[in-house]
Amino acid sequence: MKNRFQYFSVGLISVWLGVFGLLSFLTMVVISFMQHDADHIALMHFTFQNYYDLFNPIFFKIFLKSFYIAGIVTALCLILGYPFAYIISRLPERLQNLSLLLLLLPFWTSSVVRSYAMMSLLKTKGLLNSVLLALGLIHQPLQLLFTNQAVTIGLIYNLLPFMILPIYVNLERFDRSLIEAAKDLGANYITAFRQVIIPLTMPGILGGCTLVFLPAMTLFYISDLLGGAKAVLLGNLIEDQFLTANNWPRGAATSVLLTVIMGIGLLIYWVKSNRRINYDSVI
Amino acid sequence: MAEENIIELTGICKSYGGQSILQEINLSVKDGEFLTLLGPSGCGKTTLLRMIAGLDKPSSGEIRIKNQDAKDLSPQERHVNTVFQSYALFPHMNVFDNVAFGLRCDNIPETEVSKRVTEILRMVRLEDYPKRRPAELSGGQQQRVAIARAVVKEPLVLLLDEPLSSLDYRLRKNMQIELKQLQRKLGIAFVFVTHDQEEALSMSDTIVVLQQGRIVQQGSPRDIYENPKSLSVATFIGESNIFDVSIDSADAEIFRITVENIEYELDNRGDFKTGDKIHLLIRPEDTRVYHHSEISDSTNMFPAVVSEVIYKGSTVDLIVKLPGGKLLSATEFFDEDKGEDVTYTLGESVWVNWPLGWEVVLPYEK
Repeated sequence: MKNRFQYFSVGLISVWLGVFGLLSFLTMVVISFMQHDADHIALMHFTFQNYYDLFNPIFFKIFLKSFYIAGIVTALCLILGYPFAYIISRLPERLQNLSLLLLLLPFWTSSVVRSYAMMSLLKTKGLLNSVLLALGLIHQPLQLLFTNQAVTIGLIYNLLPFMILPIYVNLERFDRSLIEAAKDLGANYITAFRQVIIPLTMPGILGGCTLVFLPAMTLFYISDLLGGAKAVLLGNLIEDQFLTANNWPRGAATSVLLTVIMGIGLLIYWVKSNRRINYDSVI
Repeated sequence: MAEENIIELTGICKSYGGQSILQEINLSVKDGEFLTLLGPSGCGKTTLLRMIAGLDKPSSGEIRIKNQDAKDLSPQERHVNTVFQSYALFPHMNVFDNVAFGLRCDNIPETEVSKRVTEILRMVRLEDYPKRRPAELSGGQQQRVAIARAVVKEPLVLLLDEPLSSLDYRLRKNMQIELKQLQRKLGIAFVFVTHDQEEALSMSDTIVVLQQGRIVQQGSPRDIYENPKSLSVATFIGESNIFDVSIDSADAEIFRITVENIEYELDNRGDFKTGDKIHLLIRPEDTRVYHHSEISDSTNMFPAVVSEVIYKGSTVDLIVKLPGGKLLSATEFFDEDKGEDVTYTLGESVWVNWPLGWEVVLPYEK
């Protein structure tokens, strides 16, 4: 009975991922090698043209900028999220659960709605500027909305939980006697943190970074809403090509390229970590 | 050797959330001594060890390490190192780096680190595995890394928290000998926590018996075993046959008691008075069992019937039943010189006694 249920649930997830993950990705791969045609999705004609087009300086600039913003977002999420995860993992169990609930509470609202809310906070006559003006900290409203900073803030706000959760999971089952052993052997807190805690929570850190970095490049509605026309991320580029330019093959090629870059990153980590970190002993 | 007290605990109390863990602990550890904290789980022995290490703070009382008040000393300032029960080896570092960790924390030059680590790894016979990770080592090897990592710092005292409890029986026996040899070689004091009385007896210079957060007895292994101060110590360490009796008459020298309808005259070593209730303890190995054919004079002997024979190789353990129904255990050693016959059959009638004076007499508890 239990076995049948296992087969069913694992099977269902596999089919789901197969159809909506793998199959749709493979479709994109196929389309990315097909020819663009204004009247159809694509023409059945094998070509490298779509990838060749991506070596255009404009695309290259968008790629770089997306990496840059995603990198900053990831770094800030890590800096904010690690201490947060650390503190939660040290709380009594009841408070831990409450904190996690509070952390996930915003997810009960659509992230598009939350981004609109963010707009009203950041706009020229928004809440933030009003408060700062009232406090006399600034004399004229700051231009926040429709800047890269607004996009960065919006992305951090939306993605922070994805950084916190994997690190929290890692820290929560961290063997505290290792910290005591480090102190016992003469390590001060900084040494213990740098040489014991950080290396052993590296899987969580890298997991969190992966979960933040990729969406940070592709959450197009956030840069649409908060960045206006100025901030074009890879996500916007892909969105534009599919929906505005109606150029499916090139959109597909952009997506595939992004996937390949991320895949290479994960592969490098996987190869390195197999040599460096023994998972059996960490977990 | 200088009989200097390396560690002195005075009036240590500890409570967690209103629950008292340790009460009024006074204890000193001499230089070069192998001291064992022995007690059942939950008696507070690990907490005591952690307080010496600086990982826990006492609720009240004073800890002095080398005559210095340790109250404000952090774990890294105490010159005391711990071998943790779980070993707590750093899984992401190899054996060499694990052992070198403590030295590198002290900013010791890398050439000296390398020299000292290599030396200590040779001492614990791990010189062939410096590049292995803890997960690639056996339990006994991990144990030795944990010890090497702690002693390479040349601590004043090495604290060991049940370090052998996760090893199998044979390995544990070997490690007991190795630890003892290592301690002699290093000449530093060991404070060893265990709940295994056999381990405590075979390794220690001094045993401190802890029960329910109190020190109930302290002394050499022999002293603890032969002269337990209370029934709880006597029953925790080794087995005993216990008779609860009242003293028929007593003077300063001797007292008389009646055990199983037989009168005995014993030396009065505990200042007992007529009418006092006592526990009379006889260790199984002191309980002698004789075939009827061996005995011509059965004065001071219990008649008994053999009800169980357990062959143990070097000994035969017997359980004999007294006429009143009480069961006694007796351990008989094979002694080929005397030609004693230690073959017993179930249901055989035998005589039982003990060498007078080898008994332990304790005031009545409960």
